[in-house]
Amino acid sequence: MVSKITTAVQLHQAEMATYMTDAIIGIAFIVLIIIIANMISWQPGAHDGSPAKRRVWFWIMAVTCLFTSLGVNYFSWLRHISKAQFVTEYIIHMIAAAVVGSLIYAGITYIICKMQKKDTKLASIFK
Amino acid sequence: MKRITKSLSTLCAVIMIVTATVSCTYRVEDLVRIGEFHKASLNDSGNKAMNEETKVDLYIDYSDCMITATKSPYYTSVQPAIIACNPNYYSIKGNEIKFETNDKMKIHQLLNTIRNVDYSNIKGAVDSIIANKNQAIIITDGEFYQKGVGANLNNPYLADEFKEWLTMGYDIYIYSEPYTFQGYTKNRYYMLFTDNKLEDNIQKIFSRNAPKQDDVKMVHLYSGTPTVKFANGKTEFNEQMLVTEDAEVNASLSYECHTVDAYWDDMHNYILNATDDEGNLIKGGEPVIKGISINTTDEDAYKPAELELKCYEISDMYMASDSSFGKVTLPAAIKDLFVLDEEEWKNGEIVIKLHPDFDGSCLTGGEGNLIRVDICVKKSEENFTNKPEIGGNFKFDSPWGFNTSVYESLKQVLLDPAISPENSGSPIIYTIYLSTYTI
Repeated sequence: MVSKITTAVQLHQAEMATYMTDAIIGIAFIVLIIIIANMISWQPGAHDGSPAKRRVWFWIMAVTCLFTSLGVNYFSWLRHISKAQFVTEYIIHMIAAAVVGSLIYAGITYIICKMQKKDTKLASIFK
Repeated sequence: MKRITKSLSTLCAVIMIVTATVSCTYRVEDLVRIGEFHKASLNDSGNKAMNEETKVDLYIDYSDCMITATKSPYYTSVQPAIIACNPNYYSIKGNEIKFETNDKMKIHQLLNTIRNVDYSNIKGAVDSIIANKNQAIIITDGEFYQKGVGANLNNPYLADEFKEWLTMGYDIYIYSEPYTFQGYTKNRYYMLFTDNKLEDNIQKIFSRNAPKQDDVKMVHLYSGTPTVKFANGKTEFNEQMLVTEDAEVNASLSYECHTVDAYWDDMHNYILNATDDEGNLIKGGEPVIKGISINTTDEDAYKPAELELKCYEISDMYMASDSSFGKVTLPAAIKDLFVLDEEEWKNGEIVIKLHPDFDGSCLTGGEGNLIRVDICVKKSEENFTNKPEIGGNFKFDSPWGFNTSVYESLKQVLLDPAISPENSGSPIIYTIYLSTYTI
């Protein structure tokens, strides 16, 4: 995505872009979990295990979101930085952005689920 | 949904406010008048360059040095160049210093038909050189034998004259060519009185024509400051400063001007507090400016021993007047901005780093921080008496004894504290202007 990052200005721009990208990745995963949760069908009968399944997928997506963010950050920016001082600084922001992105995913998914009418698939994730 | 939109809009507002405050930095962009500013700030305490239209005066000592000259390959190589300067030819026949001609043909004839006249008044000839203030060459053997007084073997009889010439900001180059006469090894002195600042002065012409001879030594006397030379053709700035390509470099006035794109925050964090590959802080930070060294040779009579940096914040002064500057007095020097790396100076390199206590508080420019960095001579040391291989050529043996007068004249001039570069004229060797953002 970028050429070598050698100056402080480029580093700051990369950091900004990292935060924005990871936020967008987080939002993308929200859409993803909504789709997945809706794809998991209700289980008929007395004991319905589907909410648990949806919950598991929720956590799988959270972890995937984290690692996707880290991966994108690495390939888009970190590998273009050679100056040791920049690398140390960027890694901190890279991890922070990935965590924030995942938190955005988790937080907004939670809010959306809690706002649903009860007995919907999404609502069942966080009973 | 409503809550989400509300939180998103506050986030957008915050981002806009942050970017607005960050972009409120200013910088002096119009640097066209830096040259004028620099000229207006120069300390012209009488050290004006010699008038380019000056004629050249040639004084010839009618003694054995000139009679034997025609046999010297060194002399025969430089004679045409000297005549080509169209000089006014003065003969020193004993006490009589007479203007003979300025016709090149007659000069050539006179130079080839010299007879010895005793008691050459060398001191008188140099006196008139100083008085005329033209470029001048005097060819003499330095033997000032005065009737009734004696041989002046150990008398610095030219010291006062040399001092006066140097105080005017001019230069003296003395070439010493050994020759033998009646069994004694004496020296033919070519004393060139000129101004280094003049384009194509007589010294340049002389050195172009003089053959490279190891036994001919030269000493360059001047009380001005030396020039700089660059390791890679130009000043090197730290990459993190983002110095722009369009720079103004004026070698004759010894200054250059650059625009700096980096913010001071970044320069503080990544230059002053730079770390190496293992994460350890580099002592003193990385160099801000490097690649400059002083242009002195063994023949220069002075060498700068100690340098100092003077930094000034001139944005307000520069922006204040949009017409000509008149006489500019620089404001008080700011402290805690840049320092000279003493370790590198021991190796003869000029390396400038950020001051370890730099925290931005010294930069108070409102419309930008236009900084002027002067590299000045703080103390110079004379570079002549410690070089016997050069100094020895200014003493010679004669029928009346060992003559050290020329050597003593030079020594007396150089040891006079009033003559040294930092006490006369301007001690500034080189100036760098940096247009940077406000803090």
